[in-house]
Amino acid sequence: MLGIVRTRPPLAALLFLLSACAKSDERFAQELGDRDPFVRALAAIALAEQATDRTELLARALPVLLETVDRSELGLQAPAAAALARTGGRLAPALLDALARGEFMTLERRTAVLDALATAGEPAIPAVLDAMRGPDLERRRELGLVLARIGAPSVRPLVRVLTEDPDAAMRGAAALILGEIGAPARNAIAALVGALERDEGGVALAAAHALPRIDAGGTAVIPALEAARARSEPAVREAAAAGIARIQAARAASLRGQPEGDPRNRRGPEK
Amino acid sequence: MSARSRIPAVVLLALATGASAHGLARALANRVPLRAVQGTLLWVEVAALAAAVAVGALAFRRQLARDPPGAPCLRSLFVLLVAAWILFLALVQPFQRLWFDLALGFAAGTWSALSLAEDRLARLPRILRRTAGPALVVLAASFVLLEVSLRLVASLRPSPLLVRVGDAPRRTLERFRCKPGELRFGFPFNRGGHYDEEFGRKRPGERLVASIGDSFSVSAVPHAQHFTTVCEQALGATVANLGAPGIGPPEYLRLLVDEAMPLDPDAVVVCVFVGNDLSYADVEKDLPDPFLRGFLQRDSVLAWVLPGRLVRIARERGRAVVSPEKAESSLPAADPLLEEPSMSAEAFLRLETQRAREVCAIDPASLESFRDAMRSMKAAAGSARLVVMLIPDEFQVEDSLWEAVVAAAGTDLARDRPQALVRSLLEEEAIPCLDLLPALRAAPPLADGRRHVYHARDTHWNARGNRIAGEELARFLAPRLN
Repeated sequence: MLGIVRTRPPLAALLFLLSACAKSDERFAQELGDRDPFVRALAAIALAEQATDRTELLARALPVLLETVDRSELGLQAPAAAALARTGGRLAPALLDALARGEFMTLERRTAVLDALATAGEPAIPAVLDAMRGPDLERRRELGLVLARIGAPSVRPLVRVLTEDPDAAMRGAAALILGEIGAPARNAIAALVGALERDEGGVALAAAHALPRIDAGGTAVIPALEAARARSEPAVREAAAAGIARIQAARAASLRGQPEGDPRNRRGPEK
Repeated sequence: MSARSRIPAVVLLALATGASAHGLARALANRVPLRAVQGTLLWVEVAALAAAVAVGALAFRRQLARDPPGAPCLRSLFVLLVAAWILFLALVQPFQRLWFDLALGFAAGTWSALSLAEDRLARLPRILRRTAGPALVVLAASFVLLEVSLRLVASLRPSPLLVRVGDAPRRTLERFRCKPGELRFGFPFNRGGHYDEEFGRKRPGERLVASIGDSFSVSAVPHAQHFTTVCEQALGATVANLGAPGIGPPEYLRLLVDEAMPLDPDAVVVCVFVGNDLSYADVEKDLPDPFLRGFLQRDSVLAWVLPGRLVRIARERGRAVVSPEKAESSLPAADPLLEEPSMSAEAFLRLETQRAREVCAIDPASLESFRDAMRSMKAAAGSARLVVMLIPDEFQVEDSLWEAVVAAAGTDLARDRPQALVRSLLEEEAIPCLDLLPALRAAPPLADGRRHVYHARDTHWNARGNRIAGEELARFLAPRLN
């Protein structure tokens, strides 16, 4: 160190400044209460960056990040949303609470919260599943999309809900989300086939919708869908027939060399 | 030369070096959030500021060693500071103290570099030194003098052209303004994103009213049924409808200054919704560094905003007023009893209860921001008559909703308190006020016993409510326009 001071004083001075000037977590936490919203916002972004293992500080930064996402006059909306996404794993329950309390929150804030939950990935799944319970269909739908965006890590918890949950609405939602996940949810096919065979009404309908989206080739699901065409509920019969038609269309397309089976491979609008 | 004459140059160079070092320290102290905000640009800034400190220190040392001592280059300092000011207005907005500290560090470093290169600059062709230097000084002085004069004129003779408004409302308006040409019930938003035909500056002999509001102005009914159209027909004068959803008094002021006053209106109607326009957070109030903000926030600098306002007036003069094709479709149900609700019953009751809790218990002290906004609007309206149209919340009009809200709130609420407070406030400010509450309450109930002047579970007026409001407004404005 002394060598650098002797041989390269400007570099030594810069290194000294770099270490001496850096603010600590506590200093940034203190700045969360500053009267200048810009200072508050920078402090919250800093904590999301550097205090990643200090949940209590992140929880204090969360309201400021949510406020900043809404304040276009600060010019920090995008960094605040990115910081929210970084905190999502640790703060999933707090984010879900903000979502539940902020019924009339702006679209920007709502999108940022949902993005943060989706970016959080696996750690957020139990809290998201828990928050999906209840009568609010809109919340269930948007949280379901969060699980679908998380993708493969959501499959096992969703299968558990599909096979074990006593709430039929939750089982139906789980089936639909598995369908949204698509091919990465292949491990859920058996559970979905079981639901299509055993469950009633909405759950069987959701399973009939989901199966062709997961197994676009249809080898594993065609027999179950064929069997479902004989069920008493018209909606389930129709969904099964539509699923079979979808699989057949995908097969025909693949014979022509077009990657059509997985909806995410399809470029044009669905026919 | 004596050692004394060295002092000014040495002190100024020390200050410049200190400013650069301060900027560098601020950048380094905030490097974690700045890296997230600016990416690699942060390290370019740090390098530039470090270079500024080094150059400042070098210039300082050289000045100390110089014999005979040089005089400080005050002209270049002045030009540089004005140039930095203009660049800050052009490139670094909105104003934040941190950006100012960094910019000052760069400017100080540039001046130190100029001081260091003084001898080289002296070797430039004589003609260049004789012309460019004084020309730059004159230009910089002109800008400063223009700003000072405009502020002086604005304080002595207030004019809508010389109003200084905050920057935050402009950004809010940009965010929420409707898209020009977008159809609402088959009627397109005009070029300004307002739910009206194209409007232009008042023509000779024309009577023009500008109405400013939030989602009530954007409308939950087709244009033909909107209260401004109803008022226009009843009044026999043009009523320009300006508004955007989700805005409040600070944005109304901005709309008044930027878009209503260029139309040269005879009267300006500010539509104040009791539900959410009274106690709002004024994001620009109590911000630190008011002096610096007054000069470095783009919208506060009159020399910067005046050309734009003059251009807007000229554009409004030349604008042809055309009526769009009226192909109103997807109309809401004509029968209020058949309207489709916009919200679930639970969400609607929650919203109304929340609003009732806030506005019925409103503290008069919390209306001070609203009072300030109204005062600014009155000043900005100049010779145009400023009036306020007070829009009640639905719980104040529908008795059954009020009962549900009171039960949900679980506390005593003074139903008409906000109107009483606002009316008295506006009386003190000598601003005429049209309170629509009595007229809307006087609407005869329909078959289910409700008045149905608001769209079902939506919080905005339906055609019936718009008609009452439009007719009341016309009655209110008629004597004030003649």
